[in-house]
Amino acid sequence: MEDSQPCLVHAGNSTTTTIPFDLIIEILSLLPAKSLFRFQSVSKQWFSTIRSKFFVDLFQTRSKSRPRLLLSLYLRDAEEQFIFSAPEHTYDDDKSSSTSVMARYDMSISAPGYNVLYGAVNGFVCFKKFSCNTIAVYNPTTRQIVKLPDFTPNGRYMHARLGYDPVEDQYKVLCVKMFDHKRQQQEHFVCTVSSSQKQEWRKIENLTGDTYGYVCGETCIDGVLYYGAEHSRIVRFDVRSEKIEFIKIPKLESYISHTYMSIFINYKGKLAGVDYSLTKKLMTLRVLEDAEKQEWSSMKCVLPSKWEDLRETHLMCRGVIHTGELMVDSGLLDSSKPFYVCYYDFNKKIIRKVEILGMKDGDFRHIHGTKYWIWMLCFPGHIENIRFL
Amino acid sequence: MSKKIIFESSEGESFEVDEAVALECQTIKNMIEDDCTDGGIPLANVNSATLTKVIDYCKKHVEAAAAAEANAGDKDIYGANKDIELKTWDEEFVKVDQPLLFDLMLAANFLIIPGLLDLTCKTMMRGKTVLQIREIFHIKKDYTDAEEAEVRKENAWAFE
Repeated sequence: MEDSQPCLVHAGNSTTTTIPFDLIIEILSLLPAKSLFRFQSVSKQWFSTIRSKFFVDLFQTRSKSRPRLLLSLYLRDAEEQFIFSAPEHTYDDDKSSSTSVMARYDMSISAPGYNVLYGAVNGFVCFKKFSCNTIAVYNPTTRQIVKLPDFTPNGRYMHARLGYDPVEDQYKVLCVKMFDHKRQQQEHFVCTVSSSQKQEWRKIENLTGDTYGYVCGETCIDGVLYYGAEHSRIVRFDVRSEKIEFIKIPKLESYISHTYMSIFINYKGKLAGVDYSLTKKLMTLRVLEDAEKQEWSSMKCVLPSKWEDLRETHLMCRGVIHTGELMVDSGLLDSSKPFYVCYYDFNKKIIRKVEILGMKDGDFRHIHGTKYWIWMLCFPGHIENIRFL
Repeated sequence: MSKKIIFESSEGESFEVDEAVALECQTIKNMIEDDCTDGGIPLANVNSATLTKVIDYCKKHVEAAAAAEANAGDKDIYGANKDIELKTWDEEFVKVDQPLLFDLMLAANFLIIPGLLDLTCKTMMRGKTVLQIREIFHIKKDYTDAEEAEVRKENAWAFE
């Protein structure tokens, strides 16, 4: 930035003023990402400024103050998958408190068929094609797709998880190659995500000697990737040192009938898990208060009746929005009904519904003529990141 | 009676404003705190036309903030103050010609008025093409045609 020349401009009553380059950066940082990609064509200086680490970091800081919902839609009939995003919340001109937000189409998933979402960190999203082992990391803001090297699990089942190491500023995918359930063994591989450097799967050792038969859920907090191992333990993977540890999950009450729905979330910077009992209409939030001592706190809430028009059987909590409210959605989009997400405040015991517009009702529907159920994944805390990997 | 602050524009014209209005400018706020505002504040790089607009903006926002405080009960549970009226006023406020908008932006930057800077920057950039941007900022195209085509191709989706 040091070699930047201030631009000469004519302002006001044809007095010549210089516009400081700091101000140009300020102006650029206020723009939406799409404009930034357009304005890279203005000049070489603008191009290098927009691509500079300084600016990318500044943009990310600004984005964090306006987090979005990440939406992944799978159209079963067309076998196509799309990424949308929408503001988490809006202080819109709308006078009523029942708010709605407008979703924006970001990009489509390049691999045809259903792709499983394997984690979203800092605006990057990892998908694995369901029917094969193609893993790719997408950035819906830049539309960059980084394909990972083919992974050959030799007929074994595999899982992948995306993590971020803030110290080295690197994104890594952890891949778990499962062996059969009885032997309960697995191998762990790591690949650093990059389009400029050679990517390869490196095998890492699990020194704990502990094994697990299946995995569920995931979240990445402060350089640590967490995922559930058989609902009895949590795997703690340090993204930087690539070390695996285990955390015990507190013994669950017997009423939990839908444990497969248990997921992990980042609750105000802490690891938390949510369980539901649909028969008793109870939801429990457990927060890992002290990672060293493995102390968990727990909060219960009665599922409000307002949620009943969400499809209960698919009720999912996907995380927390910036106001600290828990987000719950039904995982399905019925083309004949509005799509809602619910926000629940555990402290105030207040629930509100937000309708997400612009998906099935926009131009999108006319193009694709969706008549059926659409599988829907909705995650809060998605930020726009203009970084290229 | 509230304390008054005197601004002096680049043409040497004096503008008397309430201290509360002047405090909207971070730069002036620092000067007031450092107690160096006696005898007026010369603003050599802000002309009278621009300064008049800047003062209007600050006055309006001070009044709006006071009104909002009086009606604090109207805020929704998330603390958002849905001040449609102020938003509409802002929109009208920046319906000025390009040179004045530019001057307002520079003044907001110099005086550090974050709200006004945000408003003027966004207004100036909204819906602009690459060519218009070059014109506004007097930027000479330094790409060859082939280079420019390449950059455009790379970001083709952003031009849709």
